[in-house]
Parts: sequence; structure tokens; C-alpha cells
Amino acid sequence: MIAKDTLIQLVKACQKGDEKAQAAFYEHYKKRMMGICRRYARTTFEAEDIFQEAFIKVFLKIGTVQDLGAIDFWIKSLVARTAIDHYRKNSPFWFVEDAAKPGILPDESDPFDILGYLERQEILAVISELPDGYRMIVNFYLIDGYEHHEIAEMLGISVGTSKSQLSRAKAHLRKILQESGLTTENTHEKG
Amino acid sequence: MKKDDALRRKLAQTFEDFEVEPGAEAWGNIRAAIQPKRKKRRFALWFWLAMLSLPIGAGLLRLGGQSLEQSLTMNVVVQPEQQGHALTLVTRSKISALKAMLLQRHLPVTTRSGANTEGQGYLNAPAMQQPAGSSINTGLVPAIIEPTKKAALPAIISVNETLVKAIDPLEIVVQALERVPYFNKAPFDNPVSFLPVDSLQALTERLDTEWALPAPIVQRARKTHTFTAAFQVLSSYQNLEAQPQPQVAARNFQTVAALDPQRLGTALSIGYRVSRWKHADLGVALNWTNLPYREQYTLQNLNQVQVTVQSDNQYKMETTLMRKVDQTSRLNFVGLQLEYGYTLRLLHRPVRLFAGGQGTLLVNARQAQAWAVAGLEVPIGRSRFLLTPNIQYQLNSSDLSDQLLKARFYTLGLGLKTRF
Repeated sequence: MIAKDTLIQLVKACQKGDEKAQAAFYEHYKKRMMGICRRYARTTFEAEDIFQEAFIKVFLKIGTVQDLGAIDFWIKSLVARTAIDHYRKNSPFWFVEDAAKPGILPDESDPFDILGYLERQEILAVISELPDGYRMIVNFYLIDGYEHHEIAEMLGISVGTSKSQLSRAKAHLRKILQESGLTTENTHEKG
Repeated sequence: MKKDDALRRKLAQTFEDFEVEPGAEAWGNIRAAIQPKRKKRRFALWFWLAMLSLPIGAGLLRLGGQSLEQSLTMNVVVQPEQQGHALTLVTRSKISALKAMLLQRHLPVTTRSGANTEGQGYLNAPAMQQPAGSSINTGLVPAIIEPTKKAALPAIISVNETLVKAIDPLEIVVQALERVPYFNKAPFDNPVSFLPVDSLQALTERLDTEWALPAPIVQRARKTHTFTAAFQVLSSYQNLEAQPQPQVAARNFQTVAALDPQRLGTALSIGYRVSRWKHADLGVALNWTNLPYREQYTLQNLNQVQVTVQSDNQYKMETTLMRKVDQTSRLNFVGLQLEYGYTLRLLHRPVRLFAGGQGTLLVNARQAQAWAVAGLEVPIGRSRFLLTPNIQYQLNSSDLSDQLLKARFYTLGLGLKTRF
């Protein structure tokens, strides 16, 4: 783990294009950033693609970073945006603007509750099964803690669409959990 | 809402320290992608030093060198998405290998012979993830080529029509491929397969003969601001004309038009260009021009008649010879040029046509002038280092020699221009 001051020095060196600093910077962040990419991606292969795209952007844009203390947040945000771009580029209709009000789907039991009882790898496997748009929403909202207005801004959709997509993601998640046999009862028993 | 908040906190904690080791080749790819930027800066410094040393080393008036053009090309290195094979770095210039990879990326896996850890049938994946008995159905390859060609063709035509947008045609073709229905019906959401190297080579050879993609277009960084530097050798034709001069009642003024191919002119310029538009740009440049100048004329005053008595008592009346001049010199001009450029595609090259005007100061006579300028630039080569022959026609006129003369220059320049 690098001390905060050292990290700031490292970022400054990267801004000057120091190759050794870039290598050290990469070493410092690679696992965490790959972890984020893995969450947003459907597969490890896609995660690798997003990871490389994101890190290229990091080094090309690091010169624009002024608040060096917030470098963690900056990188995380850049990785998330790269994931968005990646899926938007590959499937342009991944989000359909939806004016419907949230909560239109029957909400028998909240499938998100079940996630609380699962192990990390199990959660990852379940989320990976979601279609691209739903997976993004679930990651942004449940794990990264973004609010709907922030998600709407990042994805270029309305707040209403963000909420309804989350509802649909829930419905889809419920279906996946049922197919996997991970019902509420089972998980309670497991827990 | 509270229930959601508690869950969000728990999941955030669960994934707080979630780390995954990226592939060993990732850093190599990232470094390769960011390296050209670094080289470009180094080159820019080198270029400026070279440009500054040119006039000092070779002399201002007899330069016959070349100025060089650096493109903003990003020498992108593409790495095939091979897993479990030796990595093959392919540059953009190796188009055939790229074509193969293009298909390779989109070849669907036809049979799900087993699931890897991702739950999908990736073939030739690393041994740990590859299910036993999995193999690619290479017999499917020819069947895929035809629909692929069919789908990619409009994209290729579209690329040809919009070449100057500096778009990588492969990107467009890839997008076209993604719309092929076959791929949509593929058994997996994101069909990816990885051909063995020998299959890749066979496919490459076949694509070379059957599928003629346009040559790769140099992918330029879409810069809206560009600096330019140019050196030109000018061949000039000058035409002297008489100016009405009532104060000396000059008449019978004779001039000789002169083309002096032995004495060439030179021009150096440093410019700045804004390219915010699709094809057009606006440029401003500071120019220094040196042109040969030849004064050759006789001036006689008919108001002053010289009478001489001949030997046979005849009178001979002759007008007074005021001046007879035959001399050569050089003129120096410093000018500020404003030009409009338009780039179009000719013979698979982006050709920039430009036209504009130049406000110029004739240094010898401290005289302001206006020039018209037009020309074209043709880049040579695909590398970052572009040579651009620059042909320029300019028309200017100068009032010289105590306003007795009006000199009109027609210059044709051939030179090299660089952008950085």
C-alpha cells in the first residue's frame, strides 16, 4: 500500500510522462480496477478489454487531474464511464428510454434482499447473467452507491428510466435466482 | 428505502476489497498504446531544432533542402484477442492480418461442447478454462465470409466517401459486421472464438484474394489546432510594367520581362491552423519570402531633345536617355497569410486545397502589398512523418524604383510542409 504523499508524487510523475512512474502507478491500481471492470463486465474477457481501454485513458488524461488527492475517485469514475462506453458502442440500443413510472412490475419479494445472503463470487455470477443495461444499473446503484440522478447523468437517460430499469433489473434478477434455485427460502437455510 | 440502504452498505463492503489480477499482457498493450504520444513530443523538439538550423547552416538564399512533415498519426498497435496462444502484435499497416482478426473476433462458436468458468463456450481459451473436447468448427468459416463481405461492402463504400474524416475504416466495418443477422442469432450473446495461428494465416490469405478492403487510413488524432512549418523553393516569373510618371514626363519606357531559372526564390513559413470543421480549415501563417529581381529597362525623355550635327550637315534629333538599367538583386518579403483549406480525397490520398491572401511588407522598400495565394498539399506516406509537396501559385505586384516601375511576380513553389 502506497502512502498518500507517495501516491501524489507518483501521479505528478505520471503527469510528466515518467515511464517508471506509470509502471508503478499501474501496479498500484491494476487489481482494484480490474475488480471494478469485472463487476461491470459480463465476462473476464470483456473485463480485460474494458480494463485496457480504461487504463489507456487514465494515462492519456492524467495530465488533466488537478485534485491529486481525489485520484482514487477519478480513476474509479473513469473506469465506470469506460465500461458504459464499451457497452454502448457494442450494443447501441442497450438502453431504451422508458417514460413508464417505476414500480410497474409486480414486486412479490425483493430479489435484492437475496443478494445480501450470497457470497461475493455468487453475487458476481448472478450479476454477470444480467443484460448489459441492467448490470450497469445494479452495479451503479447497489454496489457503487450512485443515486438515480447520478446514474441518469452518466448513462444519458432520465431519472425515471433509471428507476424503471432498476425495477426491470429486479424482475430479471428474480428470474435468474429462481432458475438457479437460489430462492429466498434456500438462502435463508444457507445463511 | 431503509432496506435498500442497508443492502447497499452491505454490498459495498462486500466488494470494497474485491481485486482481480489482470492478464499478463495487459500492461504491454497499454504501454504500446500510450507510447506514440511520447515519441511525438520528442520528435517535435527534434523537428524544431532541425528547422532552426536549416537557414543558419545552408544559407538563406540558396537553400535546397527539405522540410519534413510529421503527421499526428497514432501508430496504433492492435493486439489480437488470443488467449492461450503466443501473442502476435499486428500493426495497422498489416491490413490482411487485421482483416483476419476482424473476422476472428466475430466467428461464432457453433457447438457448445462444454462450459468454461464463465459459463460460455470459449474455444482455445486458456487450458484451465477450456472444456475437454472443445474445438472450432473451421468448416463454418467459408459460410461466414460471404455474408460478412455482403454486410461490410456498404460500409466500405461509405468509408471511401468519408475518408477525410480520418476514421479508421475497420471500426466502421466492425460495426457493419455487428449488424449481420447471423451473429445476432449466434448461440451466445457475445460470440467470440479464437482461431489457431495456422487457421488465422489461411484465412488471411483467402481474404487477401477475395476481399479487398481499402487501404488503412492513417488514423489521425482529431486535433482542432495544428501548427505548421513549411519550406519552399520558388520559381518566379516577373513582368515589369511602366508606371505613368508625369513629373518626369517619361515616355518610350521600355521594359523586359524576365524569367531567370538560374536564380530561384525561397520561402519559409510558420503557421497555425484551426480544423473544427469536417473538411475545411482556416489557417494563418507568418511567411518570409526571398525572390530574385531583375531590372532591365531604358527610360528616355521626349521633352528633352538632343540635337547633333552629322558630318554631312544633317541634324539628328534624339530624345534624352534618362536611364538605362540592367541589374539583378533580391527582394525580401515578410507577410501574414490567411488561408482557407479544404481537404478532399483524390487517388486514395487526402489532398488539401487552399486559397487565401497575404498582407506583405517588401522589406527592401518598406512597402506594403497584397498577394493572392493558392495551392495544394499532398501527404506522402502513412507514418507519423508525412512529407507534403506543396505547390503554390502566387500573384503579387510591387511598385519599385521610385515608383517608375511596377513589378508583377508569378511564382510557382514546390516545397515541404509539416504539421505538428
